[in-house]
Amino acid sequence: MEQLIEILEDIHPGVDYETCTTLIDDEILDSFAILSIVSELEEEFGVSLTPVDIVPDNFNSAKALWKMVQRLQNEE
Amino acid sequence: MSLISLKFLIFVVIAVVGYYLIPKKYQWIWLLVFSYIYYISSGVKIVFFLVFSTAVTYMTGLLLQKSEEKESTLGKKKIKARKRKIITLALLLDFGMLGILKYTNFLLGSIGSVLGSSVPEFDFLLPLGISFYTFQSAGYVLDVYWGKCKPERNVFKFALFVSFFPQLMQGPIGRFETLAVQLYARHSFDGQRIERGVRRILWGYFKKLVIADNAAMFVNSIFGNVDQYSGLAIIGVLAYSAQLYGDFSGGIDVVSGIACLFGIDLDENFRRPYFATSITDFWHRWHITLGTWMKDYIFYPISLSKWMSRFGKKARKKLGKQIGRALPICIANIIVFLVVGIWHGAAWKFIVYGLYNGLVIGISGMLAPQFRQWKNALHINDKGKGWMVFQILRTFVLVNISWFFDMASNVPDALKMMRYAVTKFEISELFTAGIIPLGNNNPKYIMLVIATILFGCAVLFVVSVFQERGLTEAELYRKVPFALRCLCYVAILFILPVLGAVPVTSGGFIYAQF
Amino acid sequence: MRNFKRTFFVVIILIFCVAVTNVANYVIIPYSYARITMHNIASEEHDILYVGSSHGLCGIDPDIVEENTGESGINLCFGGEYLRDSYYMVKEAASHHTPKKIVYELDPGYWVSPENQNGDFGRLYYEMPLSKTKCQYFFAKMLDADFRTIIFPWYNYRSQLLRIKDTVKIKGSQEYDEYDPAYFNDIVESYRKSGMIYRNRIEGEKSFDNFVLWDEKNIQEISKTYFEKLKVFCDEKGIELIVITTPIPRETQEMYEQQYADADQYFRTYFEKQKVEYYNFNYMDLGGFNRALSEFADGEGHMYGDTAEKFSGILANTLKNQ
Repeated sequence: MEQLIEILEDIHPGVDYETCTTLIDDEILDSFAILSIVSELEEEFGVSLTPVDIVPDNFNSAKALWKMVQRLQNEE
Repeated sequence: MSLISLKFLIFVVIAVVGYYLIPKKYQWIWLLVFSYIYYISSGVKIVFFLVFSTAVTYMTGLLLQKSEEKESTLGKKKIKARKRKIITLALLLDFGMLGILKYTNFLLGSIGSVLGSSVPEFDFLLPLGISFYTFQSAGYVLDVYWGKCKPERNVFKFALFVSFFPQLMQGPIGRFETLAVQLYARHSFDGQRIERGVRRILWGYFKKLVIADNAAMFVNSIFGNVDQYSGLAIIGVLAYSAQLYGDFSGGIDVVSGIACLFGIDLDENFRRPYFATSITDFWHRWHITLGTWMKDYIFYPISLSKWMSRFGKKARKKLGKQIGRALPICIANIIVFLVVGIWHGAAWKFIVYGLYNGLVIGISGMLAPQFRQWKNALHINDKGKGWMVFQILRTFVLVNISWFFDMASNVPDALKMMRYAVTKFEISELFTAGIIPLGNNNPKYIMLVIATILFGCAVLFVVSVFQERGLTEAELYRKVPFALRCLCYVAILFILPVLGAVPVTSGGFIYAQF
Repeated sequence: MRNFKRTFFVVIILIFCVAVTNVANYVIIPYSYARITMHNIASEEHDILYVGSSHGLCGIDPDIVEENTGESGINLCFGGEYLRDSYYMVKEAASHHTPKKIVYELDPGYWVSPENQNGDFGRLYYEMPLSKTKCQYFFAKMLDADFRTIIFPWYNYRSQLLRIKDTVKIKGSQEYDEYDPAYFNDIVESYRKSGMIYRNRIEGEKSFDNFVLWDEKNIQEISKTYFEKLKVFCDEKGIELIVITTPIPRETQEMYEQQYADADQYFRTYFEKQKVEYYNFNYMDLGGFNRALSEFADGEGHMYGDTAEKFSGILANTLKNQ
């Protein structure tokens, strides 16, 4: 999880990823950032995302992201 | 049926009145019938294309579901391959038809000019709304493919989703998940809704008839006679800013207002685009539904595709993390904007328009970390008001550059105009005899039209600021009592004939020809 | 109670809007001889109806034709009158009295340019008294028009705001009530009872406005539609339909020789198919008739009054010798 937050801060600094739950709803992360995150997730955690996974539910908070990563890792 | 014609007004009144008189369970059928009446009124022959698109995407949805049901017997891989074939065929048919009708002459012409020979020209009449309903139905079919929504089994209900008349001409491009449920639901008469719809319709007509159509007269002259009005290039592009926004968002307000009268909320297509702080932000505020469509159905799928992933990995190795991570996204982004450009029309200038937008966004995305460093070094407070104003103005300039390619007849003219914009400025040319088709060349009349445009823009600006600040309907109703609101509506209604221009393009909206 | 109050208020407002618009119509829409024309359609009976554009309006003198042929006529031509308008004017006239002949003055420019929605676009409709024909006219023309043209008829006449005093004065006068055309007489022209406009000879440069050159590529299907409707109507009612093109200045024709010749060829072929007599006076022997620019008020083809009288004599002979 800490690794994930590091990634987020590298791509888009200045946000409190521990507490924020509206990363998509408040448009804090734009599509560029989202895809950069996806790229890092694929690199760091070896997961493969599809368009179906790019939904606000999965990206609105660091926790939600982590949940998704774990789920995808289990599916592999 | 032109949105400004009396026929259309009467059509809407009958449709709305009847809608609330019939039993609620038939309301969606009523909408379907009226949608097809609307479509047929513009030519029976072209209904074929609408029906074709509807049939292809309807059957595809059902076929995809059928395939999934066979997953347990045939296995995941085989089904995936089968589904792939089905969706590919559907998209080829759907977009193929759009492509042939819209781009055949352009492609043949380009090939011809490369080969130096003349090519046959086909006289294809672009069916009403084909650019919009093709995208909407393709979005549905992809949503079913990805399991985002279940296919609609009732062919007539589905036909309504594709043909719902308010959005047929110029969007907004809807999503099945959010639109279908509203279309098929039962709606009760709601006075507040009617007021909201009427208000939105009046506001849309105001933007179109008072701002856009008046500005259009100058735009047509300046862009149509580039050398004659070389001193007015800047004024021309600013007028076009006003015209395009007034025309398109005005038209969207009218159709959204009409949909609202039926109890249906269409997706927003505009959100004060000229307040955008970057080109990226601009595309989140301008033609929003096209942007989100591109994002969900082209940008993400391309970026997440296997070959893009592989390319990304290679790029990381060769060019380092920052560039390697950003490059695939940039390329996907450029592809998206090329499509956006081509969607606008079959001409090289639109390709340049798309590329320009794609490159600006791509490059600024790639250099985001650098920009952050520079801002820190220069001690710029990027949360401050001053910086925001700078961003808005900067974006406005960048957007206007793209408008040159959108409106000029071709790329060379666009470049010429941009050159004039920075080298020449001759306001007296505004009073050249014949610059606008009406007024008997009287300079007082020209001044009147300019004053009208500025007045319209001022009103628009004030309203936009309130909207940007998030003024809710409840707050508005608290501050402005019903009687006063009605008087305002009447004032706008009378402003339409008093200040509105006679449409130069026989009552047409710009995006209705797409 | 709240809803009732609100509905009541909305109704009051709508009534107010209607009242304001009616007042605006009265004070802004200028007096036009179209009103007299429409009145005459209903109140008079004639053997020949002349329909067409401003060329016919200035060039055809029904009284001269009557002198020579014994057939009375009324000039229903109007600047900006397209075939759709002519068709409904004819229908309206025929509903009161069936004429023997209809002479359609054809200006080729009208067949290759779309009707613009400004100025007097809805004038003939507006001045037509309420009748079955007016309803049909509404569905045929006004439904597709800008909604402002019907709901706010004064909309197309905003430029006349400066003449409010004049307009109100004339509309309150006896002349107006008695359909007296004397109001329209001035130094440039006078309006005859027969419907013709007599252009006076005046000094000055001749203009070349409103000039649309023939180009078959731009042909408007609606013109053909309404011509064929007119032909069917005439056949049903036993009315003879004749098409003419009035003479234009020789200088103008020489300047655009090819276009005028192309138009003539096109219409000759078309009217032959339609089995309608077509007389293009620009390609006929007109005896001593002088087609120099000096005999016209402008380069476009509006004849001076005395020129029109001479031409009408020739027209009369043509009609007699058919």
